[in-house]
Amino acid sequence: MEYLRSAFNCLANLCSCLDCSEDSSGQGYEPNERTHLLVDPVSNSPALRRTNSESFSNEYSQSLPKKDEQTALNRIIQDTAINIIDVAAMDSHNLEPQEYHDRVKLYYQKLQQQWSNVQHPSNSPTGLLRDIPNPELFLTASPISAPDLSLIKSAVDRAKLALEDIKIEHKEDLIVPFNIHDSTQSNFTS
Amino acid sequence: MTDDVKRYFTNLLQKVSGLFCILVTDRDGVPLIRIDNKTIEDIDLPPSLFSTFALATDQAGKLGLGKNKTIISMYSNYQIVQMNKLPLIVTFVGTENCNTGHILALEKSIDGYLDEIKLAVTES
Repeated sequence: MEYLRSAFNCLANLCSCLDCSEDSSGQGYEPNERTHLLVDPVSNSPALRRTNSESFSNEYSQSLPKKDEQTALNRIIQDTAINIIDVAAMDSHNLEPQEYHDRVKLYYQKLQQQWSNVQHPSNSPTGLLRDIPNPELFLTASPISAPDLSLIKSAVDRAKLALEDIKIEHKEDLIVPFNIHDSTQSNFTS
Repeated sequence: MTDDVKRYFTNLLQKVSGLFCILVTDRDGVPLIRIDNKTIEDIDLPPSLFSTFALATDQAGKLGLGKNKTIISMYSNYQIVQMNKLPLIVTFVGTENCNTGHILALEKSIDGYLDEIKLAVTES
């Protein structure tokens, strides 16, 4: 008899377990005493918890001053606004003529004061070759006149002749003996 | 004093053929330095050209490609090269077939001077 009772209990336990599994599978979406309160892991995030639980938001507001919250929010809005490419808001504002002229004068004065402090890069040419903005002008320039050319030619010819006429007249011997040898000899003899 | 400035920038202007003018302005388009090529009639540049550039270069910097440095605009009669040296804007206006590379190469020679010119804008 005892054996039968224990077997019956065992069966009942098994059935209850089956019921449980049916509940969880078939009626899992209906909240009952067995469903988890925190099923969705997203609901664990502080942002949602804050909206769901009033007590938490109260605690939060107590822990953080409202002013700080506002400034943090403003900062987020500001950062977002900075990163957004807003082409529609690109209407340029024009300066008033009076302000424009005032600024022109101000800048002129400031520049005059400051230009003396500017370290001017040296204007001396660094090489023989120089930048020429439009070489066509120089390349298409008219050639020099014929008399000038003949003058240059004759001058060059005469210079060439003069150079060819240069001769070395040697008056002394090319090899000059020093007196070192004699002195060493005299040392040896002494 | 300003003669020195003008002479320096005029030399720069003459280095690039087809360059009409060099303008250094603040971000609202108020000119600090303007050098024009004497041989060509004055070019009227609308003030919105500068303020629009200032906004455009700010917005272009948000594309995730780093800071925007230069915007080159090609028009049917002109080309305009604008450099972001905020709080200054350097604008070059040239013919449509002017050598853009030459204009961009001027940036190096200008940079040394711009630091001093910037002070005039930032202090005011």
